[in-house]
Amino acid sequence: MYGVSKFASGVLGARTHPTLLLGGGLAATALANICVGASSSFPLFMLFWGINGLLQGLGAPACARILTSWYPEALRGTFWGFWTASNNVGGFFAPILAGSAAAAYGWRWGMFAPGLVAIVSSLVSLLDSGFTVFF
Amino acid sequence: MEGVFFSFFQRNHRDCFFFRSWLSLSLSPLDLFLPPPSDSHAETDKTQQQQLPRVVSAVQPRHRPSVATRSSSSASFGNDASGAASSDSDTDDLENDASFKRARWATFIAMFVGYGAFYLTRNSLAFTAPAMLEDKSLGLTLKVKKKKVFFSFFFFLFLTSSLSLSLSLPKKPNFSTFSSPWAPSPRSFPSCTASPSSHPAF
Repeated sequence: MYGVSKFASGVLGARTHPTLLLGGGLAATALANICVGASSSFPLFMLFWGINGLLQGLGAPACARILTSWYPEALRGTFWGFWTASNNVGGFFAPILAGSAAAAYGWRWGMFAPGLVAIVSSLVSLLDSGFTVFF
Repeated sequence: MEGVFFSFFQRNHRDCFFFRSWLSLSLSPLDLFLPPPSDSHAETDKTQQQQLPRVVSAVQPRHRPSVATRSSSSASFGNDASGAASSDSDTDDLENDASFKRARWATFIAMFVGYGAFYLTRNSLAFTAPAMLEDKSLGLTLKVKKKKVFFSFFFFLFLTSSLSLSLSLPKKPNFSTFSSPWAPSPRSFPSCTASPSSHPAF
């Protein structure tokens, strides 16, 4: 499903604004996470987590398009490498944030806290909408 | 689908494997004695590279008068856009432009933060699941059926091994349906085909 989502978003990202796709997709996954936290039955968990999984593929193709459009061929590999560190950083902070929030305030806040942080960071990535094709 | 499973038992395909790989690589022992390919292509590439505008130049002076040639872009970079000097390319000017670099770093940081936050939402369930299992009002239980997991390993081992064999080895030629202008199919000569059904004893 992730592959299907990634393929579809790659096709979509070539036609739409990739910054919008990145920020909007992130906000949508954050809302799906908050919906998982708000619901309290197994079918609803399945539904919202499935939506979350479908929206997870929106980020990478948009980032790839932004990287290829902003950086020339000589710098592209370097900054692509810097960018791939971001998933490690996110994976590092996920257990700290979600685990500590779940331990301190209950499992609902274990889903709310990453969702709220993701909404804030989606605003960060949406405000920077200076997308221009240079290279 | 049958071929996938039965190819597991057909050892005779393995004899053809090395020949097939040799064919696919199109390597010949005679290639070792041939002269190396001429450099005519490389020379043309070099001349083309010299003609093309260089994208990044580290040795160029920093503060060059830049020309705002890209009016179609949404953000107009280049505060000192006077149009005085002609440059080799637009990209050189962009690389030396401070405002362009600043905007690019802002985009990079936005991208970094945005994609990192995707991993927060992706992994959130994995780290809240223990707390969800502790909450008895949800009625969630985690049962791992060890026996099924154990046998499914062997099932998929068999499946994937036979699949990989059938994909890597050549297809067994079916001579009964094979026909070509220079070698007609044996089916066109029924007297030559030996099969139990055609035998007079049956």
